Amino acid sequence: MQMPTKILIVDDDPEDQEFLLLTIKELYPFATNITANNGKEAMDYIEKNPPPPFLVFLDLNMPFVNGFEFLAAYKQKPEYKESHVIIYTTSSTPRDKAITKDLGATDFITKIGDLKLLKKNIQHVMEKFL
Amino acid sequence: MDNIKLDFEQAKAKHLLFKSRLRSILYESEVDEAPVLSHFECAVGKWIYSYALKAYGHIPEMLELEKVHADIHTSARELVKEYREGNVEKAREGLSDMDKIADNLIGLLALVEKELQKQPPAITAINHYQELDLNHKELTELLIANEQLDKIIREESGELIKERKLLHSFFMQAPAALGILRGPNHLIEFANPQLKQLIGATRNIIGKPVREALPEVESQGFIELLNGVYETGTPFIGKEVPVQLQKSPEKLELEYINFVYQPFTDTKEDTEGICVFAYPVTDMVLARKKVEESEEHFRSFANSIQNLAWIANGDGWIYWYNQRWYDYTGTNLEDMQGWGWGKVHHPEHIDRVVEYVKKAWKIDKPFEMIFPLRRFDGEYQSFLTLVVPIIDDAGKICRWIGTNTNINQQKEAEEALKLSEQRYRMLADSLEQKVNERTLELKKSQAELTSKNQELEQQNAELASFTFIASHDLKEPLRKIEIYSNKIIDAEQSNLSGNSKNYLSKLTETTYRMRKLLDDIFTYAETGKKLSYEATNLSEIAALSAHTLQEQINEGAKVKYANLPTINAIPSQMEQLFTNIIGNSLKYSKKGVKPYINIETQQDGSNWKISFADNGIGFDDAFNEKIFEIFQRLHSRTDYSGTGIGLAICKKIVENHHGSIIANSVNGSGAVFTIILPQNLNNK
Repeated sequence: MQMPTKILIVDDDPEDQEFLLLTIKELYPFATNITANNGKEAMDYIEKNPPPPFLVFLDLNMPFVNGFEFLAAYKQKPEYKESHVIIYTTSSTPRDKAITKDLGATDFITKIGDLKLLKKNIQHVMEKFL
Repeated sequence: MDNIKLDFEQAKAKHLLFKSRLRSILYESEVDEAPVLSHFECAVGKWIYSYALKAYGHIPEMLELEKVHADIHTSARELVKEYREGNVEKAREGLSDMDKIADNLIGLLALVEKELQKQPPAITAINHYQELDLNHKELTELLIANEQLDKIIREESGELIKERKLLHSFFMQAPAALGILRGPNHLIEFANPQLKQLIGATRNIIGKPVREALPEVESQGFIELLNGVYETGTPFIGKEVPVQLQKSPEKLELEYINFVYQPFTDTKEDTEGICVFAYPVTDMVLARKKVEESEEHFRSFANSIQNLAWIANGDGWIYWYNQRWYDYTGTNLEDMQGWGWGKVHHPEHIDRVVEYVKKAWKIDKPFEMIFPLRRFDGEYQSFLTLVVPIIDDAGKICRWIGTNTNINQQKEAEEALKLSEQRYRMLADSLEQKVNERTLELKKSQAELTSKNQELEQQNAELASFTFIASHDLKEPLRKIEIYSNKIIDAEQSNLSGNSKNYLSKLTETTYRMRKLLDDIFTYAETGKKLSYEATNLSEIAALSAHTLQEQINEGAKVKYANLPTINAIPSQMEQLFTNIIGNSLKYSKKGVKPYINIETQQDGSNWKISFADNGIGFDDAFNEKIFEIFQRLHSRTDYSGTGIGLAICKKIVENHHGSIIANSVNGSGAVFTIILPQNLNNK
């Protein structure tokens, strides 16, 4: 089983960033975690800091460049093909799930209020490809 | 000689002379008339008046003699008068009457003479009355006169014979049948060849009475006719009289004869006989009868048909109408004959008809017209009139035959049709107008509607968007609250008092509730969105719902369904629908009883009926409509959680799909939710 090395969190909500960071740290203490506030920042970082992150947690509703836009641009590049993108959003609509899947997202996790459950969900999703 | 005897002898001789002279006058010989005409001038007269009456007056016969002598002269005067007036034959025949009187005179003379011989008169020396002497001159005169007379008579006879001969030849050669009947028995004195031919050439009729010669005519009334003519002297004219003639022993033939029975008289104007003048007109009559017969046939026929009919002369003068005409018009022949038909024509049409017809009579072609005729009750009806000319052999129009056919019904129907056509047209026009107006109105309404719709859609979109954002944005802080609450619980578990823990727990619950509410509100709002219908397999939907509700189902519940149909629907909404209903049934289950939900489908016309039956706590059926209202709950929050939006969402979804949802229950005995959805929704 692989262990993620570089994890990028893209979310405009600092609290949500923090919650996710905490959860990931518990799961994968040895990974490097980077945060970006929006799709643009995320893309800038990735381009400036190869190799691309192993895992990207991507929020959808963000200013400047939202999740959809980032995902579309990101997954177009062949060098980022291997990078796993997990959508991490408040939305739970099948539509969003479908679109993001089409755009190349690996999975979809809905933000919830129960951190414990969240942890479980992430674990569950991660086990699919780790 | 005896003077008396001589006197009387002379008197007789003179009398003879008188007669000769009279005859001469009547045969246009020149004679001395005076002694003939006057009984005074004549020698005998002179003798009587100047001598005899005086001498022999005592003898009564003498007086008689005077009278008779006077009469003779009176007669002579009359005869001469007749002769001079031109009644020659009568005058000459009168001579024979005179003979009677003359005989009387002679007789009287003889008597007187005889008397005198017995008793010679007292008068002495009766002198011979010399005046009575017939002198030589007078004798010669007598002889000459006689000869002349003979000659004249001979001549006249000759003339007569010539005349007779001419008459005879005319008679024999005349083209008509001529005959002379004589006497009361109508003896056939004379018959010309034509007459013989007419009655049958082989018969011998001359000298026989009609009764004998033509026995067959007796029963036909001709003898009576002849008798009548003979007795009354009035001629009879027969026209086209039929008579059966036995022309040959085997043949009794019918002939039509025009004839005249003309009586002729003798001098005394008594009928002597009857002149018969006849000619057969059989062919003509038969021919005419044929025409009459065929016309009679036509008339019978014309009287049997429904049409009015009439016959006119070549110039259009109508002389016969059929009974239908009279029945219809209520007129009679007297009214109608000739040009009388004008009386039953409509005053507004008569001029047109007369003008047309005047020209038409002159042309030998059939013609037709349509015009109204007045019925006996004053009402006018339309007739189609057809008139056909009958042309004779000479190419002349000899008859017109016309029929009038009542086309009133057709006319009325035509009128009615025209009227209804008119009305229809008017109606169509007004309808068109109305339609146009309405279309305009509709367009206006539509435009208004469209703009209103657009407005509404816009508002809806705004609302949806607002609701989305609202719920989304509201949910976010709520989530944070949850997280921090949980953190507190986790981090400070040991440090918290029982109350604080309780409060925190309540906090979590409440935030959870709020989130649920926001979720449902969001869903409710989302359901309003018009998404497109696609083929949705409801079995798959049911499976998805079951998966979503996995946790609850895993606690021992059973959801049964089989072969749910595929319909046109919004898949996400169907999933929501199923999840809500099944979720409800699982939630409102009886304590200690494993929930059992049975989903069945049934075709109902062009709809699907889907029923969800559970074995839960049920509800009071009185509330079966209330439960679909938003935020309406039948239980407190503490008994059963819930937002009160779930069924409202279901109702909205079902309505989105042009269907319906009803709930039925008996309190404590489960509930049945029945959804009706159309099978083939189209995306419009």
